[in-house]
Amino acid sequence: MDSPVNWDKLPKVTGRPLEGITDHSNEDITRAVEDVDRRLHAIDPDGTVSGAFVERFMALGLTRRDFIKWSSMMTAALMLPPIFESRVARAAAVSSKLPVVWINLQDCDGNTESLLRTSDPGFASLILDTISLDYNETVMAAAGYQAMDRMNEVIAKHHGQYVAIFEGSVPLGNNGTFFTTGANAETGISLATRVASGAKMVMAAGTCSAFGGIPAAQPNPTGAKGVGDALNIPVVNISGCPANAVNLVGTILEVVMFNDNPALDRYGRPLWAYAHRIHDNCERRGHFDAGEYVLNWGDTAAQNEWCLFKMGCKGPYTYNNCPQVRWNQQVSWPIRAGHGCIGCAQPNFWDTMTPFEQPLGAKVYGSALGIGIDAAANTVGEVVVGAAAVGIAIHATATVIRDKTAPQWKNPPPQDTPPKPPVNS
Amino acid sequence: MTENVPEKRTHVLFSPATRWMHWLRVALIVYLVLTGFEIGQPFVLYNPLVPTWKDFLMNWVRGTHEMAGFTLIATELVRIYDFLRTHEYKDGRVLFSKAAWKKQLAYYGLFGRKYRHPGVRYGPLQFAFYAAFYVALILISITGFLLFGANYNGPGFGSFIYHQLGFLYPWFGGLVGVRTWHIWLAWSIIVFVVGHVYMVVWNTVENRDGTIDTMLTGTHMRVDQASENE
Repeated sequence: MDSPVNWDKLPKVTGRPLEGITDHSNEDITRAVEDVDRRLHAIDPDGTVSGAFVERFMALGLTRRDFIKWSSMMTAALMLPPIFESRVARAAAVSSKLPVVWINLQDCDGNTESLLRTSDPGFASLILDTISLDYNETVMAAAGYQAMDRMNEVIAKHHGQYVAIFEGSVPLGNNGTFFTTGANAETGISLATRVASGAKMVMAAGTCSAFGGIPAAQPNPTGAKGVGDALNIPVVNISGCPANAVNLVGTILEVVMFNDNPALDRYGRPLWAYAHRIHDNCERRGHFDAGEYVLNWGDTAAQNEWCLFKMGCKGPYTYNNCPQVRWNQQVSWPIRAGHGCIGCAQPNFWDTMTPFEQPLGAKVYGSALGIGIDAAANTVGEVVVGAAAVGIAIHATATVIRDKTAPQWKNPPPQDTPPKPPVNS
Repeated sequence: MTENVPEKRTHVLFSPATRWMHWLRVALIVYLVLTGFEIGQPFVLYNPLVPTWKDFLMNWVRGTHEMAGFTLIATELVRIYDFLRTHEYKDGRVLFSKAAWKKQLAYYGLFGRKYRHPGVRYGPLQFAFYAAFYVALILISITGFLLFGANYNGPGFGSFIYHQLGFLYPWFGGLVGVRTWHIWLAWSIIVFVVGHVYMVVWNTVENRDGTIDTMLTGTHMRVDQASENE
């Protein structure tokens, strides 16, 4: 942090274009580009991508061409028009001026792992390495009191300026003591409240911090909640199990270029990443429409890369950009690898999307309702219709028996007057 | 009743609109259930050794399911209008008559004799189940709208559902919850149809008064006439 930037006093950008979602004219785009240029100039007046940044990625074995490819990819992923490519590159170079505090709460650290453990260091990990990641428990050298001091120092120094990224759910049961961290055994809820109160923007990385995720699945023994629900504050949710590095870095670039109020969907997720359904962008969608399904793992249909719907793919219920940006250096993603989507970016996916390898009609209830017998929707339906059929058979048989044993029942003597009308008489 | 005017053997029970909507609904429900199961857990399968050579089956199934669903919603709207127009909702008072409940339950339990509830079209059990059926129909239409809106990315009504009615998705537990509700409601309608068909047939056989014709002709024999004819 050579020259601290006051992020609140930067020029505002209005009318962020979202290709395919917002209606915008060429004039709108020109105005937005001018606004972004003014904002980037205020952050770093050097003008172009700084030499220090270029040297850093050259040292990793990446080329200038790689950087151009990457910034084009990010521009497309952010649903920006192509004119923004150079702005995205510049924003990536100056993103190190944005202080970021990364707090690990109740989860498996899978999001950190997913970002750090890339087989070759891409730009996403480079930027996550070089953003001013002032506090990250998983990768920092400090421990114990030293670590806590460092965190307190960072949140005091950058008060109101830093972006807080939370990973993991906040357990609220037993006064929050299911999760404590640091030398003072501070509870997750206390830590989250303290860090979020001074943050310019709060991001929830991963489904656990966005919606509670697996810790909040039935029966939720720790009373876990997502960060937004637990603290009752507005949060930008980057859901996914784990969250895609592209979505995290893209949101940081969005903050650098536009501001801390990205357009969100109804679950608080950035529209540029979560506006479209997996199913609608799936490369196997044509096989779904043709009625061509994989029936067994490894069968001919699977080798032909047919649709995985009958193998329990939850792509039709899941909003994420996996089909476009993919994973592992944009090489592959679950459905391409031959397994259906498990819907990990949706709230309560562990409860609502299971069993993962069967369609929803086979969803097992019972364990969620707390009763011993698990039953699927279709099983219940079949049993109830079967019970109705058995009831019908019994009733019909009883009617026949009655008619046999009491033939006068249907033909009562004339003096047997009908019962008096119950109403309207 | 005067001596000169002969007593009419029948009385009007259902208006033509009600009857037409009923039979349209029968056809639509059969089609929607069949295609719905195909969409939920596809059972018409292709040979994986044969590449696609003809129609896009799921496209046809889903497209016609949606069109049939919209037609069903149209029949519901007409039916609800008719329900209000013919003051059918006033028949709901039979729900609050203890005697009517007793009589109908005894009748179906085979220890009560046949009877009519004068002035109303339905018995209390009947009215309660029909009301529940309509609630299920309305809910399955709403969840169907939501599923359609999420699938349809173009402008127009689908876009309206997705954006303006989109606040309903979290109410049902997200898209996956909407889908689960849709399955359960479909099963409840199947169970209703099974019971409904049996009870109509049983009533007709029991009374020999042409109950089953009522939905075709709209008229019903008077109860005393029916007893005399037996």
